[in-house]
Amino acid sequence: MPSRRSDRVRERRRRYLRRFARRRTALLGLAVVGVFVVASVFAPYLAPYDAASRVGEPFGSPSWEHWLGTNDIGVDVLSELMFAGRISMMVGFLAAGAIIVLGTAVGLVSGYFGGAIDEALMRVTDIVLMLPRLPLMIVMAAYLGPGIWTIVVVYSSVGWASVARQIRSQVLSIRKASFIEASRGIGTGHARMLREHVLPNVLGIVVANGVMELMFAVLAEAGLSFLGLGDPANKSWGVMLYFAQIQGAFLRGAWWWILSPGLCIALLSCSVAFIGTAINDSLSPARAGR
Amino acid sequence: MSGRWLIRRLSTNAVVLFAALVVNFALPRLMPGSPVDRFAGGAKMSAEARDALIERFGLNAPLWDQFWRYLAGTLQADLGQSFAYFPQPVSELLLRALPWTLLLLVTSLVLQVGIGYLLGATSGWHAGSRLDAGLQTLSLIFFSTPLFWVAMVLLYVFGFQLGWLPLSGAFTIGLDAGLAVRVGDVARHAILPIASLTIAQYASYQIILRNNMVGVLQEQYMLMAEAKGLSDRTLKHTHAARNALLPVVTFLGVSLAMSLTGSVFVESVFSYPGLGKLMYDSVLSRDYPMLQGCFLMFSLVVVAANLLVDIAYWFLDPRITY
Repeated sequence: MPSRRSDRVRERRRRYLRRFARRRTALLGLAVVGVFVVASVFAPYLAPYDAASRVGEPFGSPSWEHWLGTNDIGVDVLSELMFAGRISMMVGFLAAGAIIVLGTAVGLVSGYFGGAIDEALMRVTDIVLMLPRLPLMIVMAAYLGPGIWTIVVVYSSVGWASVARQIRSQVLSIRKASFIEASRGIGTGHARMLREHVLPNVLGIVVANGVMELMFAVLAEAGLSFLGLGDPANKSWGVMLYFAQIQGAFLRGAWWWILSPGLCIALLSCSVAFIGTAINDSLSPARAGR
Repeated sequence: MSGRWLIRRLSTNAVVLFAALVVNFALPRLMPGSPVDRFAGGAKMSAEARDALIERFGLNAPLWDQFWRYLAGTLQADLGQSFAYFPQPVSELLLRALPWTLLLLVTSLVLQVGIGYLLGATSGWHAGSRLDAGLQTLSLIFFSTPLFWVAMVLLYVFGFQLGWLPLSGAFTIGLDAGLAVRVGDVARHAILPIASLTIAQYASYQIILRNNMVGVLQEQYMLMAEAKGLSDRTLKHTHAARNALLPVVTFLGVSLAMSLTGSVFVESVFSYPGLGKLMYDSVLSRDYPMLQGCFLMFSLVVVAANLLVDIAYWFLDPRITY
């Protein structure tokens, strides 16, 4: 019996993958994300210059020596970008991970147990969803002081709510399913039930959500850093833009310094979004209209 | 029936406002560092001066007492004084900034919904086609581009390089001219901020409308309408798109919170004197009373908008009862 079940699961997985691979944008997205990951992981070996020291004229325009020009203190922008990518992606992954864990936990508990627990948790979720997100994050971050961890903490403490809502409604839809009833009938405990029956059935949504949350987290990190809440010592792409803004990149006509970090953020988040929607569509092909 | 519905909605929104107040009250007390030191802004203080400040702000009273005093003060629109613009009251500064933010927000929301409607309806009508795929890809690109960067690029191109539009502010300071010229001046200053907000945020409306459209097209009444021999135009606009629009109205409430987010970025890039700029400046100057005031004001706007959306929804879809 178990072998037949796993066969079926494998077949289903193969079908998802085939549908996923048919989306050219998703494959393109994967490629871009791959390039970004390699470029920043191997930044110490690949970067042409040190990202913290002066290696050229201030505000130097793009040239053979400096492909993407230099910033206000003569740091090579390309090298800076590669190192900044590490921070941007790390913060994105951390925040998205925290949000998924927190949101899934709340959604599972709320949907599975129902009753007063559900009522209470969903009340809190609704309030968090309705409060203006960015202003709330800014106020919290201002008290915590700028830094990488501030951004992770602040973003995940408001971001879990939408995930919790979606997971909960998915749990509700399978709670009454016959295999759950049957399992309850033979006396399966709550913990085991959640782990072995409920969680595997919402995993698809968790993954799709996780990918989209990664995109939101990358954007949120960039935004909060741009507002001066990032760590000036550990520059991310958002922090680079913050400095570009306050150091007068506009007045000096240093378009390369404004354009390149923004393009990196946009490319990364866009690629992640392509991957996310492809996953979403392959999970629910009806919506894709094909 | 509608009375009960109204009470329910009002109470939900009241709870949200109350939550905002609790956040405001609790944050400065939970976070590391004492409020008194924050007031002093890092300057050294004698023990007597500290005690005097603690006494003056009532920080030695029991927590419940403090909370009541805070609530009572807030209800009388007393939000304290700004650190950065001392001794101006926070509430006055907020009220001065609010209209500018609303101007940007409302104009760009109308544009966002309009563009989202047009593109989303087209995309959903031709679901599965190449046009649909193209429009969807486009919307995803805009959806995932950071708003403040869109604003920076627009400012750089149209402000600094081409010089077509003003670089910052909401109006030309010291402009002495007739009303028409002044209105034109304000409009010229608002073009780039509104364009940035619209470009970076219209996409979610398109995506929602498209997906609803796909759902609506599978409804029985669409088949019926088609069988009646109605033209494609009528089918698309009066039968399909109108029904697909309803959830967009619900989404408006949620998206307003997002657009407010946008105003912080846009206003800080363009130095536009609205709530967002006020908040941005208070982050830089660590002006805590101002920051909290901004947060409260943003919450108020969200709640007010949600109530408006509820009322609009009720008019659009008389079937709903709560």
